[in-house]
Amino acid sequence: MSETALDRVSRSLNLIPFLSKNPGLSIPEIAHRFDTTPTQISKDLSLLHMCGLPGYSHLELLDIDYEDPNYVSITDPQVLDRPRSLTQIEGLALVLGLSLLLDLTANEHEKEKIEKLQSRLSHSLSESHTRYVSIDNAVLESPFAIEISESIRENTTLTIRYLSATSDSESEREISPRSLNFRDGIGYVQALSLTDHAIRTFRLDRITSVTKSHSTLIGESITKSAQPSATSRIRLPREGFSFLEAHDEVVIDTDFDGAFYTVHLNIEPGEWLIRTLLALPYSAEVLDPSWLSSEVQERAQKALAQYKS
Amino acid sequence: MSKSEIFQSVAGYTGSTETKERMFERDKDDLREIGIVIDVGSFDPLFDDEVGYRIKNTEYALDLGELNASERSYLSLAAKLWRNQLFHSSGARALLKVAATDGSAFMDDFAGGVITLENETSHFESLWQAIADHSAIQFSYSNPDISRRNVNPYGLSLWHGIWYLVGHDLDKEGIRVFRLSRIIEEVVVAKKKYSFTIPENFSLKDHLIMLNDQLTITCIALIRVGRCNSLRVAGSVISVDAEWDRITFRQSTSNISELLWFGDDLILESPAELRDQLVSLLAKK
Repeated sequence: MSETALDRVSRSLNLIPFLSKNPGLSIPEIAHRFDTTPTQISKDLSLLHMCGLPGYSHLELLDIDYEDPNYVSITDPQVLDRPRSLTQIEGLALVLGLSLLLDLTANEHEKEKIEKLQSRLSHSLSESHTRYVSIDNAVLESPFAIEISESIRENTTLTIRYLSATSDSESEREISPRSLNFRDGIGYVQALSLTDHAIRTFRLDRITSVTKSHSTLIGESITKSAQPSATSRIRLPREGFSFLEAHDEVVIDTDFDGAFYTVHLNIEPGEWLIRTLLALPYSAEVLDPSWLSSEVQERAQKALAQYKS
Repeated sequence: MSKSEIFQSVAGYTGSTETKERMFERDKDDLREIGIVIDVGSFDPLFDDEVGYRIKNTEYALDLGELNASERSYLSLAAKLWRNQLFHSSGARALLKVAATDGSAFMDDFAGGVITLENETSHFESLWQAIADHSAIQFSYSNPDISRRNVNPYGLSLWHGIWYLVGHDLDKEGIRVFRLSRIIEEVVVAKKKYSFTIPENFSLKDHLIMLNDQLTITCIALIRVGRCNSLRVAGSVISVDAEWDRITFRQSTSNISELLWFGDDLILESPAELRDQLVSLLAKK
């Protein structure tokens, strides 16, 4: 991505106080933190090396040492020793982030600390920028979100009951939660499942109960879940728009001819897809594989037969 | 510092007075864009012919006060929560600035990415600015038919994982809710600021609640023993025979998919209209 001179000035102004308070980082480390390349950081440093206050003698210039690329330091930052205030969007990212943390914290004492921090940050944002943005209902509520996020932070294990998303069955597993990711509002818990020695992903809204367990983790061998080895193609009417929106993570490509979507899905044709197609409140056609098409029809016929008897 | 002092001491200001003036105005705009505001004021009460320019240290510098270890870890968690491009990079830049106040760059890696939030933020920045400035906007919206919308934007909300814009649709003459991901191409923001006022009693929530507030009805169905587990959690079940249970549950009228999902493990008994709808959908499969 190309950057403007302004982006560069902005980064350089952030670099000076950062380096003066955090001496001893290497150029690649700095580049990583500032989301740019080591070459760019070297260029920035040689530019800053020639900057300073009017007068421009060595007394007024910034004093930067980067001869050793593994150890960069600024010994005289001139007047630029303090970081610039947060931009509105930077402040918003923190304030909104803290709101979500607040929702995931049960401890009253911790909640109070987060609230205080949030109000301190809000002072740096203008009212017109915060008043009309809300994330009160950022994610779908789950009674277990707090317990799970605390388990992640405290590194404990839990026993959960879980409704399978594909096979209409409930099972019990012992897990050590590693991360909680909300994608489009739906919570996914990534956890080491002690029951089947593998990293598994569980949907928060399919967990029906959570209790603390007391297992300790010792050198588990972990297998990764397999990538889908086959794909499927289906044809949806106009109403299929919402299906595409909801499942865009498995959609490889779509083609809309004005009346129908032809959709290529990156998913193993199996129980999940059969049930999902069966559940669409409009008719969808399976183009490939053909057995999938007959399987969906067969299930529909079976269900239909129940109403005729 | 006066303008003439700036022209004298800062390298790069050359050419006629007019050229220098133009360069200076442009530089001021550029600085404002990266968040540095140049303050204009007269410093000498006796002579007001030449104004002075300065950057106020209180506005330039970040001042969060002292942060203790737990506050720093909250900030770190909050900033690293975002997986989308806009907030992720803004949060990272914010953390760098915080690290520049207290030299904590070595400490802030521990909490990364354990709780994350992932969603699209296309158009967020321009809409957000338009709301703050009270500027009217125009955009193309796909629903899935594409239409051109003229809107006074009132607010943005992350509602169940999706960003929505709430605003006054000038053509439809009423408040409408738009999903950000359905806005296609660029949003055109009118140059004029404060062209409308947001009603005092306006509340984002009132309009978003409609998205969720669907009618629910009571349903009764036979479900196969040991099956339809996710439905059982939400309803009351009584046993019928060795093969079937009977369940009473609440169901939104628009969500027939959930019932279809169970295939022949579920036989809906009432209400009759929903049952007819289910049967006709199954017949078309």
